[in-house]
Amino acid sequence: MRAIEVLGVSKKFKIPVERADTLFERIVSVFSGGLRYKEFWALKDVSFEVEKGEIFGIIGPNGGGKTTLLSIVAGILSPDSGEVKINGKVVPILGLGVGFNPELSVKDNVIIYGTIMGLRKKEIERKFEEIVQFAEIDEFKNAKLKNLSSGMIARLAFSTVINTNPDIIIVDEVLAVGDINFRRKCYRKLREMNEEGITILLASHSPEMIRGLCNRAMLLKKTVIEIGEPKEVLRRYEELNAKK
Amino acid sequence: MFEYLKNRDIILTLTKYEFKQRYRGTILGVAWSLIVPFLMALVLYVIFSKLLHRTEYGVLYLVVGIFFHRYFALGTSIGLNAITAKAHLVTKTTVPREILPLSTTLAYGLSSFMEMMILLPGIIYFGGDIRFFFLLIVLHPIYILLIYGSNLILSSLNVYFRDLKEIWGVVTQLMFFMLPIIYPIEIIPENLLDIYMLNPLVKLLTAYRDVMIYGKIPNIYDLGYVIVVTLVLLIAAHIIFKKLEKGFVERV
Repeated sequence: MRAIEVLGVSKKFKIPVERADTLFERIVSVFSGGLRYKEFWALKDVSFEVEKGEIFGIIGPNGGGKTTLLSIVAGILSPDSGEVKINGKVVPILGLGVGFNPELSVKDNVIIYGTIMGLRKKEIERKFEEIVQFAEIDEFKNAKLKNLSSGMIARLAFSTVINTNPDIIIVDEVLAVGDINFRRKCYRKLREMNEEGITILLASHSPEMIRGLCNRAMLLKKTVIEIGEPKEVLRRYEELNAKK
Repeated sequence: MFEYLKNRDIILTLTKYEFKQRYRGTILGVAWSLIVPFLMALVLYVIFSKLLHRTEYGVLYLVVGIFFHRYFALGTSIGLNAITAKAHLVTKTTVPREILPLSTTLAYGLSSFMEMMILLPGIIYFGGDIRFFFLLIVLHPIYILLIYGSNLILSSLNVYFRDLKEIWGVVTQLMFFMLPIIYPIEIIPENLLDIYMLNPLVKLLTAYRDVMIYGKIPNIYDLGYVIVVTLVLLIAAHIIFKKLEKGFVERV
């Protein structure tokens, strides 16, 4: 069964040549002959499928459309054309600790973040100990968030997200934060979750991550350049980089 | 409607922490925030005492008016930023967008309700009739929905027009003088009265005064008018919000 199906997705961004974020600027622009936009295709005709239980990696250069594609799959952005089909509950990890508030306590933040990610409040409260333990911040669990280091906050965020019972996780580069030990722990956890049948779609710059974690991979540079075995895709990626 | 029910945990959580953050979760915090409106009431009372003496319970008349307007002014000026101030939630999560203005509206609605409660001893002291004070429980949800409708429109427009804040600041100030706060309705000229009374906030404020200080049941027709306007506003606001929502991620 397919977890994610992406069919001919294109996305165009309109970048205004002049800024027009205020009513005043809009009015001015009417008199100076309308707003001019530069069109920019971030994605063109992208199609791929991810089977249930797969770890699928996306690699590509900066500005290649990785984050845009993940946002579209997560349902945050809508594509200009094409279509995305999803089977199951998607939890996007596009930024760690979204909605975190430094003035509130660790527990309050876990509750906010967890409910935003679609968990019932009761469930989060039940899992709180587990979350704190995985994040290795047991001794700070009553502190305010602002007293934690940024690494700890990232750990806490990751730990909260993985406890939200997803069917599909979408990960964007975020695990680059934190020290090497925690990163390894995250990878191990992702693999473990994958063995339980959770589908993972991730984007990364790092060939090691794609090689070490993914069943299949895709090279993306506005369009799909290659899909297949991670090894093959990485080889193409090397070629692409060598050309520059 | 079902969407709201399904997301009740997010709504309640965000509302709770928005409230908590504002007052650090204490009743004393709410009381402390009342210093400003009370000082304002004092100044206005000194200046406009002649006008206010023409109303029954001049002091209470003024104070209720100020506290009523306060929710409109605070609720909408904070609600206006509901989307833009939480840009990260818009660009990185799938949280239904209308929850953002809703939770701000609710948080400020709750604090405004508590502020009115705090007025209760003062109203008793100055001789107000509080027989129907409890009807505030019916009136305040109507007010909250009215503000929510406004905030749906304001918060989504603010994504496209970032100077809306300045313009809206003028509107809230103007509203202070368009409501019978420092003057009795009777001073409005006969020929303008019909237009003046079209403002649902005028009718709602009258209803608030009826239950809070005059011990009267509000006029059912006036209240019906307010409810109808609120519902129409909510429907229109929802349509506008859904339309503008599509550009949030790219513009916020």
